[in-house]
Amino acid sequence: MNGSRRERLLGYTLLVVGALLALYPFASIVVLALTPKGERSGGVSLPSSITLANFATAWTRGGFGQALWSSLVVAVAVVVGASLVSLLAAYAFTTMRFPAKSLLLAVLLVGLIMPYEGIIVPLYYLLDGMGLLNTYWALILPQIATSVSLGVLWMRTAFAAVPPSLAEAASIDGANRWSTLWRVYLPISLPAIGTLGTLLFLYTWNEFLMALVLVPQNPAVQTAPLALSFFAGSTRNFDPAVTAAAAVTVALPIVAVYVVLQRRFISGITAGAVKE
Amino acid sequence: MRIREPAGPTRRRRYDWGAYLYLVPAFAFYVVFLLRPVVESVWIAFFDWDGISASTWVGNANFADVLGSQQIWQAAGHSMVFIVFYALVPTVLALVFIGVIARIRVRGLAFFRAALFVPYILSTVVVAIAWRWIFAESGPLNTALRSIGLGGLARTWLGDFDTALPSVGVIGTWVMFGLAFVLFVSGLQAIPAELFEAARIDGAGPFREFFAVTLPALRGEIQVALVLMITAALRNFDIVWNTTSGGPGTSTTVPSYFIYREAFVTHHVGRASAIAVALTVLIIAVVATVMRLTREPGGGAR
Amino acid sequence: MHHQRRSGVRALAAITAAAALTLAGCSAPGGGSSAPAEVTDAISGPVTAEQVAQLGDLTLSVWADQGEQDFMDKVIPAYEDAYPNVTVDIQYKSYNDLMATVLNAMNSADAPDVTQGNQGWATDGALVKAGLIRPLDDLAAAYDYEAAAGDSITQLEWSADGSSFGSGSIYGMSPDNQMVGIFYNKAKLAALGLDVPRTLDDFDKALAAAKDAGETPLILGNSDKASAMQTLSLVQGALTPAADTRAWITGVDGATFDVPSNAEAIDHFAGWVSSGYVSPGYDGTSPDDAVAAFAAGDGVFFIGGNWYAGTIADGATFGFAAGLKDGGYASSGSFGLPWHVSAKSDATLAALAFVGMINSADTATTLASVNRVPIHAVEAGEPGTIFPDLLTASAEQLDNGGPLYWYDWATDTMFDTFTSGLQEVLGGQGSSSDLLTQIQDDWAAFHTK
Repeated sequence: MNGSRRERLLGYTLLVVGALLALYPFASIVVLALTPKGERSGGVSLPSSITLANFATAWTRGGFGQALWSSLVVAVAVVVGASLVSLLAAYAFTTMRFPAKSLLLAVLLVGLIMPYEGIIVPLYYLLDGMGLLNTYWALILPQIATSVSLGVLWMRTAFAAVPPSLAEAASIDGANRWSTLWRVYLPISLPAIGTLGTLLFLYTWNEFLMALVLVPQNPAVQTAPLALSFFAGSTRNFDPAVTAAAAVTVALPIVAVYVVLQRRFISGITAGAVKE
Repeated sequence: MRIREPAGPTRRRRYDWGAYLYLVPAFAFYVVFLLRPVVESVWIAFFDWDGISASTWVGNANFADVLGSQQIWQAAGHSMVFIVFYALVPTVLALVFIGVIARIRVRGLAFFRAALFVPYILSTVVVAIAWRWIFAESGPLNTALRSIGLGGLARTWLGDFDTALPSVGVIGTWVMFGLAFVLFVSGLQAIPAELFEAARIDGAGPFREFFAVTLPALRGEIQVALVLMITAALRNFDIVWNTTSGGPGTSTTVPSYFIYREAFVTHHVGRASAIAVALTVLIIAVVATVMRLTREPGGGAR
Repeated sequence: MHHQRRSGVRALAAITAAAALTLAGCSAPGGGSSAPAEVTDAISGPVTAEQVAQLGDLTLSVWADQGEQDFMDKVIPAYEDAYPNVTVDIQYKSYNDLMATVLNAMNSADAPDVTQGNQGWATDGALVKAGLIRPLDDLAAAYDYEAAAGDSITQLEWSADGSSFGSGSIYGMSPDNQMVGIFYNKAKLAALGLDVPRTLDDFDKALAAAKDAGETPLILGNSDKASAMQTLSLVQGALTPAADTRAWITGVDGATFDVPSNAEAIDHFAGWVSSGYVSPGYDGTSPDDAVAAFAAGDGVFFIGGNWYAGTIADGATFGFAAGLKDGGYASSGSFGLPWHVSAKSDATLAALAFVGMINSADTATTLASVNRVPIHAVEAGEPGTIFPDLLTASAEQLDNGGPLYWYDWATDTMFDTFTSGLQEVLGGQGSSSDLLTQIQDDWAAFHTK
């Protein structure tokens, strides 16, 4: 069915206007970042020449090279760590019988709904007591914990879709539980793990509150959003174009990954909905 | 009627005690860095503590203080306003979009979907910087208004008592719309074509079709969208921190902002914990309500 | 449904049990009572290079407000020359970020050796109470600081447990005097046929005249929330005795801010806003943007701190005057952000040498060269820059007992209470009497603890 011409016109108009509105804010700071100093026209018309000077200033003044690296380290560590522990636990939930199984699953639901504000204060003192404040661990360990809920429930759904006949075939061949996990369940579920990893990567990369609270003093481990926030807030630097350049620099990695993997991002979010 | 098992050696299911080994890594992280802190949050709220020296037990005093604090109620009120902007408006807008495009076949839907989802994947700090520019005194919004002769409307949107709260709200609508849209599109695509054909044969026009077929089919997606968006509205630390810091005056304060300030700036850690507990309870209550309101009607014929 | 309910109840029961179990290990949060910081290695004279050399190669970690950068760019090389075994690692933070993080930082395992703080109960008081900074009586004596600081040194003094402000040991040292004053555009004043206003009446007339002539009378940028509070001090200082304000800020028993003259001051300022004397959109404008606009020729007056002289530097176009004569040239003012030495530092001698050097008479000229007013005496400075005005204004205010300190020193929450409330009154959203009640309630609640 393709509706009437009027309906098609309305539909495409809405979509085009929506897409423009969605992309404009980011586009406007890209333009601002490329605008040389003399030409600040208020952001509605394009500048006549572009410059990369603002990016150079932002990069050297803001230490974003280090910040982007920190973000990468933390995100990869969380994705790997969370995926690993989640698939181990999910395997148990899916294939084994044990007491209190549904209870433990219910306990995991707490993590899905718990706002970080509810745990950030004790987390600060806990990590301080462990001597881990202002290190990468301060960001990695809690975020693995907060990813466990989503991770276990996600992998449980993925593993539940593995045909039991495959597992039986493997055990007939003499495989034990451990090797069945790695040889049967894991390979089949790789797409699901890929999507989970993509989602966790996004959430971890963008996490701001945890970084602000747990690594406030050590620029060497501050992640990109935090470094950007400090940079933008520092009033020595009130040239909006330099701030815009910094923001674009921080956004680029995720935007680039998104452009390549957007199907995964989107299917991750929507598959979560179907599950619920 | 209950069936009684015959007396005698009862059949016992074999348990995989080794399962717990598989559970330990995940639950170790979970308990140490999430569950225990949840409990500790409640515990700390019973004390008056500056985070450094010894603490003193004050029982319910922090909770009473928080629940009686005009400042906190005002912040909670702002959060309610944000629910409108972050959850209700995007949901309604997205449903309108869905209602329209359900009638047509859209070429390049994947592109539109990807474009509309961009706001949701950007870091909140980047979003804040982009919108601070747009709302700036000499930024694109004011420039555009001035150029079409509406210069009288131009102002520092984020610095004006009347417009700061709605301006932050608009940012939220912009971020969340894409999430709702993407969720609803996937739900739309799952609706079997026969349902639409049946409606058409019955002579249903676009509105009837929307309310009879599309909307009910999206119930699950609406539920998920609302839960995610309302949670974001009630938390909303990042955007407020990076745009208005709760100002001007106290016109854009939110509870999570006070949690941070009380814990780490003014050093009333007990009070901060009390606010955190109250906020968490509020979020759980609202989410539970939403799930209740949007659950399957009756026994669910699906 | 029944099954769901049962598992829900079981889940709840188990969670409660788990909570009780984890709580079983809980005790009252917080470490034991903190002992006041002690001085075990008092110095008796300026720190020598030999003494520091004995520490071996080390890195001195320093935290500073970003406004110090120009000064530090000159001091740090000089310091590293004098003490070659020390490398200085300095981190700059914006004022708000510094205030938000300094207490936790000084309490952490890798606290900086040297940091700036802020006088008053919110920052320095908390640092002293937690025993995190070292008393500096010996340092002040060794570098002849007390003579230069004079009576105003009390703003750096605390009792050992941090319970009383304004007397006791010296816990911080600051090399410069900061004050809020009136920056004025000379050409525009001349065009209006006016002299620099030195009384509140004259100032009102000047603002009105400027407005009539189509100028923006007063430039203001208040997105940091502090600037309006500082502007207010000009009027408040003219109407309320400075000594009363200082007593209230330092927490003298029975002091109150809720007096008719303060209500009058707030209303007077609000009157300026409603008469259109103040630049529009000020709550959304940063002070740096406002200063830049003023320095580029906008507006007739800018009321702000003398640290803005770095930007408003051209003495031919601009002038600077201390507060209004009505109040003894009173306005918000004090020594600059004090420098502290960590009580936990393992490089104490190097840290003492650093803080001592910053506050010594020799470094005063370096300070003057970046347009800040040292408390040690310096020469008048180059004509053609605004610096001579700064020196005159500073002397005028100090001689007349004019420094009001800063209102946010009064309690640990006063910054928020005062600035948010003031924004609302100026924006027509609240009354001055309500604001004063809130301010005084905040003060009372803090001082009864």
